[in-house]
Amino acid sequence: MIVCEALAYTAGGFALGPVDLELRPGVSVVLGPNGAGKSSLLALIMGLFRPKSGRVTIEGHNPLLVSPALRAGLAALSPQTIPPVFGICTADFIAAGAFRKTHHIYSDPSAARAQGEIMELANLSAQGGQDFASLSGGEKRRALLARALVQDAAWTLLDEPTSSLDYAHNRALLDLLRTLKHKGRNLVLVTHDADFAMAIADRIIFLRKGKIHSEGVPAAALTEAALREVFGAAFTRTPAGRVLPDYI
Amino acid sequence: MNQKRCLVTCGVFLLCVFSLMVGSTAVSPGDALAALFGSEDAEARAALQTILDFRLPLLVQAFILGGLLAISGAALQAVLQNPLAEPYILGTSSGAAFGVTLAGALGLGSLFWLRSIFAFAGGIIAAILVFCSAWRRRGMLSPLALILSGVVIGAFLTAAGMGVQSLLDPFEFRSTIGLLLGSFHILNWTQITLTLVPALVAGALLRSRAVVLDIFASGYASAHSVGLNTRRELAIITALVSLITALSVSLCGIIAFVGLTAPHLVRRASGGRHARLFPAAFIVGGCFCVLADALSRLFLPWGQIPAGAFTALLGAPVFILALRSYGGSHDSL
Repeated sequence: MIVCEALAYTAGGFALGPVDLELRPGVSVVLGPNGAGKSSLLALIMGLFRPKSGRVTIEGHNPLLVSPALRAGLAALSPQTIPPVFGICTADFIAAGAFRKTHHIYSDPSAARAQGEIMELANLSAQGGQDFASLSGGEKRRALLARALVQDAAWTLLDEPTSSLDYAHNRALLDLLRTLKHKGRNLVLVTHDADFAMAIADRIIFLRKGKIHSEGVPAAALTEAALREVFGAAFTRTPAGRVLPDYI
Repeated sequence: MNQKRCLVTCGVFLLCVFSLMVGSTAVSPGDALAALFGSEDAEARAALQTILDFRLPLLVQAFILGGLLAISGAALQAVLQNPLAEPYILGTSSGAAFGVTLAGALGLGSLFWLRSIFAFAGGIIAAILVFCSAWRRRGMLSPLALILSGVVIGAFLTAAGMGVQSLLDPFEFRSTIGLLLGSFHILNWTQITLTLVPALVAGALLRSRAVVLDIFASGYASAHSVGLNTRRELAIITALVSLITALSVSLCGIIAFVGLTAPHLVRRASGGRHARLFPAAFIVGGCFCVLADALSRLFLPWGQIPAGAFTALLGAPVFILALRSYGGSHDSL
């Protein structure tokens, strides 16, 4: 379980928290508008930022106080920003995920086997020898996720996994995440895409202006009123049960 | 692959021979070889002596420093995730140059060891200043903060150095500028060994960090996620590069473009892994400096053009060619 206790963080004019939150095994989606503090929350969980006050524990360990290798075994991050990688092939990019288990990331047989399976799962086997920089946006997203999966951590955190993806790539990513969900992976997604959250989440946490607005199972939490309050835009529910912005 | 290696070996060998032959005194390869095999001919022995006392120290110095600058550039490009990074970006070179200028101002410019100590100390103090100003509250250290601090502190020290230079007498001013322009000087083997061995050790330690650099190159957050101690590794790698840079400036001043261009020239061919990139970049950087030094001696009858000018003159078009080779990677360069 990931536990945030009175977690607070400030940077410039931005303030997150204090946040009290428990993320239980399964798929949790943190939903909120731009600037709500979703990525900062993930960075705090990962130990990338130091909180102003409060603390995070993952399976009982504070990520800021454990060794990098232990921390990597607790949580893996698929970041929002695709790094400007130059000159590295996709297979090598993904292989780095095995670093916590072996420093021979290119030659360790068990790491190579796990990497092969995950690249196949992420539909990236054909792109292994291709320069990472030449992949499409959707392929890069899947490569980032594949790298986090090779890490084989207790929790996999995905920051805006659908940003800049078209419908087909969105669908491919959703299928991959559903497969992972069925395999029992613990996932935490942050996104502003309510449809995507509805399609995958066991639990939804609304974040607004750095504070938890509400949380619950998708059917109960994803209401027009909650979406309107959190995103500051009008939503309507379709007869099929989808909640869409009113401009659609 | 073997054919490529043969071609590279032959190319490096021919370049080294060219470098040994070129200079104010013409040296015939035949004479040098004859003396090497025991000829007592006075002309042959003079040729061999010229090579051993003057040309070979220059060749060794240029090759090793060029190679170390190239791998330092490759390491910084990875660790700072910036394709424009090069060894001088962290302000160490400006600190070392300030040290050389200060030595000149104190009348110590002609004393090799004191000048080198001033340069080295200046470079290391600049590196410490850069680290202290880039270190954020709550113990965070980011690549971008390092670059910005390096550029700002480098600019400050360059300006301070110019201020001190304006106070120097004309002879000392000319001598200091000559040292900083980027040229290789004739040194004895003790001087070469004592300055280049620490730099080579730093280079070997950088090479031992090849996998860490591969991971860094794919993003700071990802590197942190996979279990890399990013803060510690960033500090170690930039400290090693600072050491190499300070030593190189103390020996030959500012040699432009080698650290920037050499890694890009070989990155494609080496597949991006630093374990393969480093040896290739070392050879290219070394050859680049040997060629620049040989050209500066070849043009000696027309004036003293420093090797650093040739590395920039050759490096700029070569870098543009390297940029074109990245054409297919829309997100990289």
